[in-house]
Amino acid sequence: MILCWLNELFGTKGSGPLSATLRKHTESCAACRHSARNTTALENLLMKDSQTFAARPSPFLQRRIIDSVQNPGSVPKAALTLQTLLFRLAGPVSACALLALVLFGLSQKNNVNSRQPDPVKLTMLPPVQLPIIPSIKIKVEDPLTIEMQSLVADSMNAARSLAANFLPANLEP
Amino acid sequence: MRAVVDSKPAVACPVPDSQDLVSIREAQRGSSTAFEALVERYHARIYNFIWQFVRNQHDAEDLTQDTFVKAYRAIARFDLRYSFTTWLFTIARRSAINHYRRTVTTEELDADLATETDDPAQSAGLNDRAHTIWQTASRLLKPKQYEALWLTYGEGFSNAESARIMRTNPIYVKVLLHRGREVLKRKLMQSETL
Repeated sequence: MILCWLNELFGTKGSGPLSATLRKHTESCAACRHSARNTTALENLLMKDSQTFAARPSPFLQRRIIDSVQNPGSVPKAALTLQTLLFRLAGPVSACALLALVLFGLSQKNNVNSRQPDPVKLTMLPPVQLPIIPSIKIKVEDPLTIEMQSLVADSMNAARSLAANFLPANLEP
Repeated sequence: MRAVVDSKPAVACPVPDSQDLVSIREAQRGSSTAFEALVERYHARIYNFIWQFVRNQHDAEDLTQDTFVKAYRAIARFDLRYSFTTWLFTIARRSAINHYRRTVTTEELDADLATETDDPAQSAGLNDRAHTIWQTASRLLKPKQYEALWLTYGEGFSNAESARIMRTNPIYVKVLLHRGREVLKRKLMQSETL
């Protein structure tokens, strides 16, 4: 096919009257003539076939539309109603859920803080068997203990003597 | 549910014809009987347009009904200087797009399966041309290209009106039409239909 720089122009133009310049050009240019003819043929085909391709509504549709216009609430549409309902309820439901979570959290916190043993439940509990731990007995005869006791006594005496020497008489212990 | 519909188109379009004008004026005063005349006149076209989007009779009928309910609620705000058809198609298109957005997640799988099915009419090439030109278009073209083609050749809207319905500018509609036609021309020339 012979290429022409005006060929694209015929493609974009679509059906419609050509200008005098373009009409004159098509007389001499086979490529543009071919392009213009193809475009026109395609457009005719599209227009003609749109009639046969058209979908036909059911005979009850008109009545249904009129009913819904006269009584908007009488013909519910499940999808739209549900969507609208969800949209409208989304805010309050979220707020309620948040409030419930906060209240639940607060109640849990209070329970932890003020948890008291339930006397009724305690009486029902079996007695706890504690393991027997051997007690550590300190013997008085232990030399380390005796030494500690003497050290403590010495410290007390030193403190008393210091107090007697340096403190005023009325503050003396 | 409140209909969110603009009453003033950005592009001036042909005004409604006298028959529509009377019905619209009466409907604006609250006459549902006058609106019935508009429903009778336009419901098949609106249904057909929506069907091009959803390809399902029940959804198309639901959305047609929804379109007219929205139009009835918003008709008081409709400006009589502009085209009623364009306004109605704009509402229909928005309803169809909203429906598509709602259902795209659930129907993606179905759509994929549907495209994989072996349609005898399609596999037979372009023998049954009456159906296959638009079927071919829906298969090959991008949704916006198909929509622009349908509004122009299926509904007979001008580029300005199609642009108004598609919420875009007429130049973009022209580009969409050109690209769509080129794809179809190439396909049809391959099968020697043109």
